[in-house]
Amino acid sequence: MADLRLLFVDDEVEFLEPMAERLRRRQISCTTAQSGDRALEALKQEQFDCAVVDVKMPGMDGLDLLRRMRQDYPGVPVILLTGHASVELGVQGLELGAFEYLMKPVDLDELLDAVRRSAGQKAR
Amino acid sequence: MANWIARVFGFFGQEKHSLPDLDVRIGCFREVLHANNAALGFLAGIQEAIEEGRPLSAAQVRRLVAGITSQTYRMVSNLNRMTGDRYRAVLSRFHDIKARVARRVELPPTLKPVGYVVPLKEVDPSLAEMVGQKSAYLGEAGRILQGHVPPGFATTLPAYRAFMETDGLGDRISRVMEGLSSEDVAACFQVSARVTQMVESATVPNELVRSIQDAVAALPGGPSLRLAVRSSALQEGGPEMSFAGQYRSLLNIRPDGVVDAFRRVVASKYSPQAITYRLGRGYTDAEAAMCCCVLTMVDAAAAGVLYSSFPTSAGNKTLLQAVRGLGLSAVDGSAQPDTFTLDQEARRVLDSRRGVQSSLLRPGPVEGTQRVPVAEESSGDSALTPDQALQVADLAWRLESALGLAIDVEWAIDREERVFILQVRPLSDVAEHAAKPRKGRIAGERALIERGARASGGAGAGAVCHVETDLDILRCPPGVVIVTREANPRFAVLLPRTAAVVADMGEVTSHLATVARELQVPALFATRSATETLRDGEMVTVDADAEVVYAGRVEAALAATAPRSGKGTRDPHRELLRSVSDLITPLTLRNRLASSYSPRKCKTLHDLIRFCHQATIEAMFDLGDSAVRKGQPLRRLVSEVPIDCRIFDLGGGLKPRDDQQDVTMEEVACKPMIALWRGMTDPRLHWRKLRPVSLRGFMSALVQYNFDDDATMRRLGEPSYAFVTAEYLNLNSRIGYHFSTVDARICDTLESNYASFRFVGGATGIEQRSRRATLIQRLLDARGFETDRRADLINARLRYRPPAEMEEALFHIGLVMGYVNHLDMALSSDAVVSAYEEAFLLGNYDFEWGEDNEQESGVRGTGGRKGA
Repeated sequence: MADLRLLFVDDEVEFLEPMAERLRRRQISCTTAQSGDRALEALKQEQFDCAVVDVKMPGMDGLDLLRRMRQDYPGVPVILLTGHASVELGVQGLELGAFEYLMKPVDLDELLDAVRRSAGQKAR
Repeated sequence: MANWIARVFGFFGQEKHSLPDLDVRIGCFREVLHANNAALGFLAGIQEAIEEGRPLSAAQVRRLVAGITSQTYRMVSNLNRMTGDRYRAVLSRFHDIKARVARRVELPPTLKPVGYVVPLKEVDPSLAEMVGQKSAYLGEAGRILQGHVPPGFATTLPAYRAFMETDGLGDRISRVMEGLSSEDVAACFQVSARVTQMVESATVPNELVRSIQDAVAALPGGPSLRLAVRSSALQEGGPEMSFAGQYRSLLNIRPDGVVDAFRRVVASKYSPQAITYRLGRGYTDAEAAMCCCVLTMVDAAAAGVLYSSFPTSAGNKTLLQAVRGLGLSAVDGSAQPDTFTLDQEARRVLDSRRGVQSSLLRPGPVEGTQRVPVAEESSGDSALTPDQALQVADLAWRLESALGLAIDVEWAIDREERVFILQVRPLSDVAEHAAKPRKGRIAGERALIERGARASGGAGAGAVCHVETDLDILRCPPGVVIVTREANPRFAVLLPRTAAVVADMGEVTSHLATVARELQVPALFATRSATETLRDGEMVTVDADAEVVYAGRVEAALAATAPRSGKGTRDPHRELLRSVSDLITPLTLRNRLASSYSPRKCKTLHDLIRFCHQATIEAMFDLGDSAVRKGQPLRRLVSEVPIDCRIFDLGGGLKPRDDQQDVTMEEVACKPMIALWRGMTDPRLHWRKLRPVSLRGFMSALVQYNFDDDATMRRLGEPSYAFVTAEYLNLNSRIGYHFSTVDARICDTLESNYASFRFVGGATGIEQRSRRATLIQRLLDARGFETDRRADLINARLRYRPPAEMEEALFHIGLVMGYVNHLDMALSSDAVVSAYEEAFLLGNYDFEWGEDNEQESGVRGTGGRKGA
């Protein structure tokens, strides 16, 4: 199975880096970004199969980033990952075109499964 | 891959609608199935959270509700995407239900940002989430009763947050509180002392100091101005808790002391009793915020509480309680207030009863309060004249009609006989409590105390422990009967582990009584003499419902009381989840096919989930009610198992044949399916036989289950779909009201081998369904599966075994499926579950639980042999 290239966006670095490291151990090539702006920079430079985006971030929040990505990078599916579960924001994010809405604490297998599904691979 | 896609979707080629590409449709189909499983998982999580007694946090409720809502949306949107928006009506149905769900569980977005302080005259209920309920109601009361609420201002949630963020105060507190348990009273005291000290010595940010000083300067009163700084707690994302009396109110504060008072009121968020109370109910510290309500001080000649609607033998009346001096004496248990009963229609005092008050609280000469003895010459008078009582009641009645709800208020009359309202709340549970039935005394038992007022119902027994000081609180062992002079709210910290509370004084309206009722701890107050009569260490039984304390342990009194269901029963988050679950969990759709009803019939998220699942499968295979279409690679399986199974060959799962007829197991080449079917068709299983059911289970099953009239078919439920290759099986089946998935691969590469089994639902109540899931879990555990159960949902998985073992595992799943089918009706108790478990493990697969089994230990059957 080919490596997947993942962009992981979260302002909480204590969560972001360990999670990215665990994904790398599962053969996912993982680029991290601590803000929406940095994510957009990374998107300019690299190609990604999928992005995992935190909803609540200072500055450009996850939904803003999602809007931008749907417009400029429609081929990169977005998985929203939030620490503040919300009925309205969850549905709003999916309406904006997010592929999946997951909540922290997230099970690594569950995240991995969503990443693979979004990238069009077989779940197993 | 491309090959089977072409085979699956060959028949779609003739569709006239403009449908998306094939691979998009396959993706949507897969996502609907995935979202369906995820949604059913949240559904089980919600049911479990409602049924079980563990404390539930606001965050957990939000997670469950947001989870099921977003996954339901994913089903609806993917269904529409794959069908070219054929189900737009379902989408609008979803949005209706979602909006109602969100309204119940989420805060309305704040329309205008607020500063650190808001003048009370600008506060209204729409600001409740910014200033706390106490300030919000009082602001509204000021508008309704011009001039009868003292001038003041509220500090806001942003003010609290700014304070907590300064020097990382909030983070430092979180670290100290980590891992604390409400059971460990000594640790709660230690943490409380430490955190209180941290908060009281923390820096208040300059901008907040200035805001408070400006607000104080804007109040009338000049240099002699004194203020009351009261707590107005804020619970984020959940209903308000009473927290009666657990927070600090500081009275008679000088203008330059308000900033410090703000800090001390915030610190009272960390009193031992507040910490215990929050932990015991599953609130996290971060969810609770503290705002202040700052009021011009009223130098009260008399003060007290009033309940606008209180049940009495003569119908609902208004109840007013009054003490001399500041009103705190009326609720802290230190005095018995004078009581007036008033009639709202006739606008008169019906009855008055004199209380006992030996001391009163009044503002100190410079700052703070002092307790002074009630003067000898006035102790015979009532605190209030009937006319004054009527004036107070009149204000409350105006408020009640303007707010449209029954209320309790705190009021005061100053030395110029002006009446003020100091606090307004929706009427708490006191009224409900007072209406509950009482019990008689039990004959033949020795009563030590036969007077008093039931402050909290129920009965409890234990050794007497006298408690007056904080040191007594620390020394007090669990399981005792607390005996005290005053019903002081400080003792609330002990309630979660106490058998009962008895106090000499105190009213059913006091703070301690409110907390006792919330925690369901029996409490008997106003006994006058308990501290003298009851000896330390002596065993007693407190029957609060009969208002009696017996010597020794009196089983009859304890038995007559329903067992205490624990501190979680009035958990406000559970109540919230329960109230919103009406829109989520019930399944009202009864029909098999999505095409046979309009989406408008979907009343709950569960209905939508089911509808979308069915509609997706219909869209995928265009099944409708017709038989298999020509050219469609879908075959009906003819088998002795009463399941209507359609097989979809993804390649190599069926032996090649030219015609399009039904197939038998002979022609199936899929290894996992063959093994599974061997289990399901084991001759020792009795599939067709109806399991005996207890009458109650049977009735509830009848209510929910439409029995198939077609008895000759006896096909249990809707078509099941098996997707097969030579090595792979995915079987989705709905039988009756349960839903199961088997997903497995068996090949020579060990790392690729797995078998997963998922089972959820049933026709009976959640309790019996959960028992069936438990039975399945145990039967699969016994075979080395990894299992995980939530309410009636069971997930089981086994991986990386050689083919022979994988086949054995699939065989076992098949056996279990056959064994437990319909068992939810029979599983009337945990003992029955164990009997069925034992029978199965002995290979007794046609075991039936009957009335006669209840006498024996259980495993008597007809065809018992050791399983293959």
